[in-house]
Amino acid sequence: MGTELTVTLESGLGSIPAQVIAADERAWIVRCQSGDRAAFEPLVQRYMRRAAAFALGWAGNHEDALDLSQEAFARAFRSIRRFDPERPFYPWFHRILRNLCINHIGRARHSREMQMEEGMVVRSGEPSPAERAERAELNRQVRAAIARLQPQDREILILREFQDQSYAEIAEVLQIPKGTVMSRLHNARRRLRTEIERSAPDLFHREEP
Amino acid sequence: MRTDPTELISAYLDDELSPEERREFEERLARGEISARELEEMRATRNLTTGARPERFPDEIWDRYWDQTYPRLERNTGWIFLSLGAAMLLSIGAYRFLVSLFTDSDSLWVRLATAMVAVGLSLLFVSVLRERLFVRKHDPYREVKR
Repeated sequence: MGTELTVTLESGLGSIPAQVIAADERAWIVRCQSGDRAAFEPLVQRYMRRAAAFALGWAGNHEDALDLSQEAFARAFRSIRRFDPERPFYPWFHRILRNLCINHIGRARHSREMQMEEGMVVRSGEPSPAERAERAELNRQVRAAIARLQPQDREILILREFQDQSYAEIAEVLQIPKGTVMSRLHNARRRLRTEIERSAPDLFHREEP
Repeated sequence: MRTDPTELISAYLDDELSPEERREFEERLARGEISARELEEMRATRNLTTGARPERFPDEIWDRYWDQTYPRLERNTGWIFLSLGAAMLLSIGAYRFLVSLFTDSDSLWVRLATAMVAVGLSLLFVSVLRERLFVRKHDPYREVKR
């Protein structure tokens, strides 16, 4: 990793604390802007896991999530000449990815129900088939409730609950102050709770399988 | 410490408070200034969502991720040339067609076919437009900037 450059970004809600962008990232971007496709590889390598994990939270299956994240990288490269290399890359890329995800679920709603992979849960131990089935159903209902939220709520829940990002990381990606992350996340959880109570109220009273 | 205590509940559960903020939060919780019920409700909601976390991608995917992404970058250039070329050809074709339509006296059937295509396209356009307007009214994502 090269030297790091500190910049302060302004959001509509006030000054965000100092953010750090890597100088090597800036160098890659400048090379990309001159048409060097190979210079885009380290950027993709750096962010591919994060991007695919975010897309998975929206798409609900690995295949679509990979496709969305790769397409977002392609679109980012297509627009990279308009990008200011003095700014951090990932928040800019995140907006491209987020819009692609939202468009994708819009299309999926019109054409078919989204393909949610079952049993998509990380857990320890070896559960019985009945437990796995029950857990898969529970998770399906939770993800379905998240999918019915407004995009802003859904986005912050995916970043925090599915990607386990810290408030500081979320603030950097969304370009908002940390205090706003706190309130947005709390409100999103409240609305999610309301949604679950409306659609599947027994989830809160179910015994852990 | 921030004035709205309820917003601290999520931060408390996510272990995002400093030790001092955490201690103060617990004191306010003990004094009843922060709702213990809401704390438990938020804890239950958080447990449900973290439990529903999608499974990680298999590691081998990352080995070929760049190889799958690179052709999309190459295709960008191809699509630009293809689009420009197609747009030029269509423009030239449309110009020549319109010129012949109004100068060629034997073009009655061509005129008829053109009128049918135009009417068909108009009907399809109106239908799609009406559907889009209807969907937009009920779309929770309409406020999102694309």
